[in-house]
Amino acid sequence: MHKTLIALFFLATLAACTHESGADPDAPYYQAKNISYIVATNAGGGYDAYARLIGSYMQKHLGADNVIIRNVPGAGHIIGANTLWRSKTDGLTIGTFNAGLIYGQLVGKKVMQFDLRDFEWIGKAAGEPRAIVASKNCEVKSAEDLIAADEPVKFGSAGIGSASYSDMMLLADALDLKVKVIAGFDGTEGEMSMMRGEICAILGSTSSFANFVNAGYGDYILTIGGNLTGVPNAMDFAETDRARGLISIIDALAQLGRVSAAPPGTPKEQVELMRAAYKASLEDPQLLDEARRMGRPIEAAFGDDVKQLVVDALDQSPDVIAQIERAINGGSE
Amino acid sequence: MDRGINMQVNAVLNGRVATAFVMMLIFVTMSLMALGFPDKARLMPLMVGIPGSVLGLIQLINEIRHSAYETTDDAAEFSKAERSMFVWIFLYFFGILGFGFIYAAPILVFAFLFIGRKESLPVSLISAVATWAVLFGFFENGFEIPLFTGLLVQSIIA
Amino acid sequence: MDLSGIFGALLEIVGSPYHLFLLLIAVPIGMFFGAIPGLGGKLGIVLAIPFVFGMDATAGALFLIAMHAVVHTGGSVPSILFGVPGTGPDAATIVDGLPMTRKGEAGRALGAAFGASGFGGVIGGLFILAVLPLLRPVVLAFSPAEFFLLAIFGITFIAMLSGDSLVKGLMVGCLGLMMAFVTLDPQTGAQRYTFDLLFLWDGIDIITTVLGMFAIPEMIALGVAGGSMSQVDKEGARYGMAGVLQGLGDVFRHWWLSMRTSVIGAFIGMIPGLGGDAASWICYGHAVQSSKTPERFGKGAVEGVIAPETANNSKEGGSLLPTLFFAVPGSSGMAILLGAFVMLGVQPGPGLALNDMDIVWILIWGLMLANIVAVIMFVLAAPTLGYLSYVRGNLLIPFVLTLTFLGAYLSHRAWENMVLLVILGTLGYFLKKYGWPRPPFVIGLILGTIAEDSFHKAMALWGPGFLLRPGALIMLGLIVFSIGFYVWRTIKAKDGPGDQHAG
Repeated sequence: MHKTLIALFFLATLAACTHESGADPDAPYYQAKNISYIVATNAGGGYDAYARLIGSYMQKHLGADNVIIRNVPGAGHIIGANTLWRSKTDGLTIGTFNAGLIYGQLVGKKVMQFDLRDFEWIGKAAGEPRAIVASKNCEVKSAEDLIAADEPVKFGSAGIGSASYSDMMLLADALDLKVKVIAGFDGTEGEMSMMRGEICAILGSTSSFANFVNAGYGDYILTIGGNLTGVPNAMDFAETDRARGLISIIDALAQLGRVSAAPPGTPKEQVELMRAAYKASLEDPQLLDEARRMGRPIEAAFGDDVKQLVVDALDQSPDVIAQIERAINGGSE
Repeated sequence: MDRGINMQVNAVLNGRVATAFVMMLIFVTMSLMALGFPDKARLMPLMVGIPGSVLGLIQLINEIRHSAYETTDDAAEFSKAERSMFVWIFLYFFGILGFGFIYAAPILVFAFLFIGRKESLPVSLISAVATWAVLFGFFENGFEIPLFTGLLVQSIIA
Repeated sequence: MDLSGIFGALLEIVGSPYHLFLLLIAVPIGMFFGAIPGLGGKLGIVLAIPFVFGMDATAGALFLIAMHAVVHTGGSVPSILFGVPGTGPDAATIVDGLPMTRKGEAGRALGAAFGASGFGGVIGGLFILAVLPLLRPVVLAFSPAEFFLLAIFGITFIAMLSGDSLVKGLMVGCLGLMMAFVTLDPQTGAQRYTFDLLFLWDGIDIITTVLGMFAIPEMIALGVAGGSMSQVDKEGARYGMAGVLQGLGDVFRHWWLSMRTSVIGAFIGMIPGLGGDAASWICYGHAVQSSKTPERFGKGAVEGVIAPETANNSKEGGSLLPTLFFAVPGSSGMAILLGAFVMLGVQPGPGLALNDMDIVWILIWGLMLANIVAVIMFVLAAPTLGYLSYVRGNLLIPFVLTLTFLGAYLSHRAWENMVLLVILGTLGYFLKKYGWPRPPFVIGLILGTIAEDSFHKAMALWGPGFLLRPGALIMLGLIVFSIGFYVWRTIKAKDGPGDQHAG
């Protein structure tokens, strides 16, 4: 009895060893081949969701056998990006990570083995506009209040070294905000803290606060890189060139969001094929429908447009770089 | 008299004492390293590391005194069987690290059973094939989770 | 209480062959994912999402919750039989589950584990119903100050799990704490003990730790000793159905403990940020502390299996609360479920109570039914599983070793974890050999991060005065009480029965 069960188990496994091949090829190169989609986070997060969605459509449009998601998490997307950088350049690898790595490259973090400018940029699926959400418990009710505050306003943020912390410090510098930033709030911990009345506000991606705001616990008071009715943009309050410069960096990162790229040195031909398939996928009405149902916005940009955004964002004067360095490395409290 | 002291010293230099020593050493090292961290970052490591080091010293002394009074302690010996198992663990480690799961695991399973434990050939072979089937069938194909392919393999392919 | 809504949802599940079918396949799948070390329920949900995508909200949510609810039930199997934890929280089950297997009581241990899991799961579901009106104030009562003290409270359990030597236990616990400090410090951005190794930036992986501390030493010991996991002859042993039923009965024989640990587990699950991993250990510690014969623990006391297993399952019920009603995931598994629910068209958040309570009842019933189904399914399979404890060690070791390395790797897809595995495994073996307790290491690692993080936040928010907050004072009282209780018990035990002293 026991042995039969075990035998059945292994038969099932052996059966799983066979699988069907893909659809008819549009691009003969990709026929019967597997593509690796490197995701710099663990399974289940936003980047993973986008990759799985887009990957399944790219498979169709490229005529490939399979698009296999490879999760390579760790060190705030750095490990995934490093892995993509070192991957084979045969056109069978693509990867996605947080464009916030731009901050790290600007200050020259040694552990980053890559140069973002040299990736073969495929495109981006959606931007990640930022916003400041202030809790209903907070005395600060608007951006003007925030700027005019006498006492430091308590902000929560992710850990020092994260893109969100860097955003926060740069903005505070640009608009001359008096803030006390308490780091270490991951995910929704910050929202809970706001509900308890401990911290006043958080700067983060607009979409991540949607539930919070809709439930009536807080309000958007400022955006960067996005458009919310009735909510002012950070740029409106920038009074100096310096401020405008800093905010435009945050803005650029907000535009970039969910980017995908191929390793540097991938042959032009394959890059073009992948870009075409990426574009076709993101314009595919079925994908758009699925994405909408999943609650994942799509605001795509492709190929060289994305590359330009990256190159521009990385083109900063030494002065600005020094400022960013101060901000990122645990600046003022 | 000298032999007596030698025996005592030897009795003390056994696994028990070594373990206690290593434990204490870890705390001391980590505490010293913590001194180099910025203020906030070293607070907790020191708050835990210093008491830990003290406890380590206490335990080390305990173990030494305990060992000095006993002449035989079977458990303190590092037996042949243990050595053999550790060798296998390290073989597994280097095998999988170097060649990845799909290649290394079935071979290691076979080797362990056939060579290490003198199991019969059919049993060893079936086990090896089963290992391969599960790793390949379930993980790589069924779930589409690419498994580690081994550092050596990666450097050859790259 | 909207009785028609509650029971209407139940009817929707059991009255529909389609829903029942989904339930019946989700359960074994969930248990399977739990049983393979390193796979974990999270991966299962992620892989299930494409399948579930086309379904309507009820069916999809039901399938997912049923899968998720029973992951830890499955995870108890390798913990008990081989000392290899199926999931992180299941490591607590090893401490007494494995010795039971050694004594030839694998069947009983399995029966107790499944029964406890089912019991905990059902209580977890009922807990949701009971707590619903009080949800907001309770969840919001836990600030970093309380988190810090809760972590300290958990760490004081280290002393109680120390077995014979308090010094050794404290040291191992402190070592776990030190290991929790190996990370890129979020408070300062400083690299601590990371030696420029990127993979240590996020800290030492708990799955790898648990596999290294428990699985590797067990396999080495098995290889050295020879024979099978069970060290008792088959004839004298209870690995068959009789043992399993006895184990099931044990859950009800110790019904008061089962109730308490279920409630504690659900409560811990309800507080987002405490981490479900801690629940099973805390309840294990509670079982030790509340037992009249604590010296039996660690040697095969069935309560040592019941307590963590009830908590593992009840915490899932608890963590549904903030996930559904605040859109704040109660655990990392819940974070993925949250995304999946959104995808299915369910909108978690306070609006849920007004718009869509129906789905909440479906989820609660799904949780409870899945747990019950799991118990039935596995009680039937348990004798076969118990048989595995009699398989020759030689056959077991290579497979278990493969799975252990695989589990370490799959957690974060880092081959460096395997290096960690071997290092911790070696350390774990010698700790085991020379009588150093290992559970405190795991507890220290889990709670160390929470303790430090909360401490710094509390200091930043209130300064040292955070200790005077009402919630904090209550926790301090609890800590003092539990230490005092332990000391009193120890003194009483040392005095012996014939002594006339007061305690």
